[in-house]
Amino acid sequence: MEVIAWGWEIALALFFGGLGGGAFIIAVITSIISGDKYKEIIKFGNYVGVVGAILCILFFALDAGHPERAAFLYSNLPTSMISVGSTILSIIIPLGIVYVSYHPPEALPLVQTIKKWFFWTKSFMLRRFIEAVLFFVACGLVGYTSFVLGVVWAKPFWHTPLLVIVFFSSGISTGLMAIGLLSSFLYPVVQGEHPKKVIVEVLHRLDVADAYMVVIELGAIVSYVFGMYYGIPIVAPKNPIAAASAATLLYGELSLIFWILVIVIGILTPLIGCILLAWKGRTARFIKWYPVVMAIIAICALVGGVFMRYSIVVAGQLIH
Amino acid sequence: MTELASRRSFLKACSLTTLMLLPPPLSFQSKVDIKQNLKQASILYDATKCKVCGLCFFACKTKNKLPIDENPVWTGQKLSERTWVTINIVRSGDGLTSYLRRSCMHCLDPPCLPVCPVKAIYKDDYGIVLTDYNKCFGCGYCVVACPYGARHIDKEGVVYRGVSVKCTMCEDRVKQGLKPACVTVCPFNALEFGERNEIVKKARDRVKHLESNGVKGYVFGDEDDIGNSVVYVLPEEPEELGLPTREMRIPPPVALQELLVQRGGLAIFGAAALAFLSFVLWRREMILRAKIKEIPKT
Repeated sequence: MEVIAWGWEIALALFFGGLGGGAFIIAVITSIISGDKYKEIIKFGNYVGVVGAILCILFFALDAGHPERAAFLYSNLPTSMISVGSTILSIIIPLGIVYVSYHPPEALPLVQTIKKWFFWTKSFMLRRFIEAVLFFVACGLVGYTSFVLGVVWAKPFWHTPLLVIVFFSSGISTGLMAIGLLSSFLYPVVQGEHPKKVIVEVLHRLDVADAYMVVIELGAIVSYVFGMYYGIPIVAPKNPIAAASAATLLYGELSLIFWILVIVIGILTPLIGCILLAWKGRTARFIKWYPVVMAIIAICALVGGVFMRYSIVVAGQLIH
Repeated sequence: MTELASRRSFLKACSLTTLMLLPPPLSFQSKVDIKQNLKQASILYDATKCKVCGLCFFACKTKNKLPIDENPVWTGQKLSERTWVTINIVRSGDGLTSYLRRSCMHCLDPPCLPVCPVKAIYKDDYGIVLTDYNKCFGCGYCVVACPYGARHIDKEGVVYRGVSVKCTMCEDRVKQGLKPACVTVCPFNALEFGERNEIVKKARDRVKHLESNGVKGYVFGDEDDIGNSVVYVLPEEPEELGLPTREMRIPPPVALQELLVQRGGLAIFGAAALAFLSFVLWRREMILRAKIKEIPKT
């Protein structure tokens, strides 16, 4: 295999960036639409968002030759997409932490003590303001993970607006699934029939939303790879290098990763799982299996999300 | 194999010797000529004159103290942190073979420069594209942005561990009024050094000369906008030899505008965002309506 500049670390950074941004978007939208009715979604969306954004920075730093020079990363705004991304991450992490204060992890003993100091949580207007800013910055974070590749003309396989839709739908989908995974872990912990029903209701909402996102993701990724392979004008002009990169995914050295891990495990399994859960999941016979199935499809979607980014990042660099 | 190895050793020795025995008066003479006119330092590579002797490869290695592998085969080497200049034998689509020098092309508008988040990449007074090793973050963005695959992260610490390295056009020699090492040792005049305008003129004249003799010739890198400081005279179409297309050489800020505006990226992104927002608002409306229906009429 060719020596490539960007590998696992960058793929994971893009994955966690998309996941974190997606989780924030879900949390904010849920809060705006239904207030605190689905508190678990807002809460877990927030936690996943903050952790995802931090892991995004960490993996970028891990890939860098001199991470100790990170303070200079903002020098080339707005020209360098990495400078743009660093700025977005520097805004979203503290903002996300402030937003966490509205739904702190109450199980932690320290939180009970310091909760009374969060005086700003009493202001509803401030919360809406934070949510509005967070929504746009989170969209920027998810968008950034695709633009950082999309602006590189030297790699024609990356240079298409469709990549934005692929990464955006995948970011939202993996965000939903990460929240779903945490919520399904909560199911055996909570006591009583009503809280368990609430968790299943939360999982159902996530499951239905994910089914929509996965359909968009599937359509986008199929259009992207085949569009690049055949040079379909709306995707990108015909380019032999882009076609060769697409060929490595379709039947070349990355084909196993692409077809098995990305398409079958990462997209089709969650899609079928989501449809089955939405259809039969809440019936008396299957309801106790809902969180188990949800956890399995969530893990599949997350694994698929990682390998989708890895295969796109590597395929774009293999041919030059 | 032994013969090949001995020939390589011989050439290797030749290159080292040539570099060491450069006559001082000649260097001094070229110093005056080069520095007087130089605004945009430029190299002409004439593939129709190149004999793939590999002296430029060894000269670069020696000058930059890059490791020379045991029994090196310079014709097949890829650019890396250990190899900044190489000569490849390329077979084009119609089966013809051509020689192709690979190195940093010192683009007039380098795609690696705007992507650098720490502004470590710059052009010096002679238009040579350089990296400030003390600033470089080592993110590798310039490596993926380079359409020629000339940049590499120095993972081994050959020159400076963890930073982006590539051909420097021997900027220290150029500052002293000397030609780059590879140009100095070329015995077939396949490499020439000078002011870019003159180099481009020479390249175009050479192609005219070849065509007048019934031989095809192409100039690569002579454009004023996305051209390079390393200009090629080639016997085949540049794209046939695997050189990047014009689109692939456009620097990212221009590329971003193009991606967003001209190629409908913004429209698609905006439409997707609007569709998503509409869906969310529609769902909210549905939920509210359902709630209103649930309220018992009094």
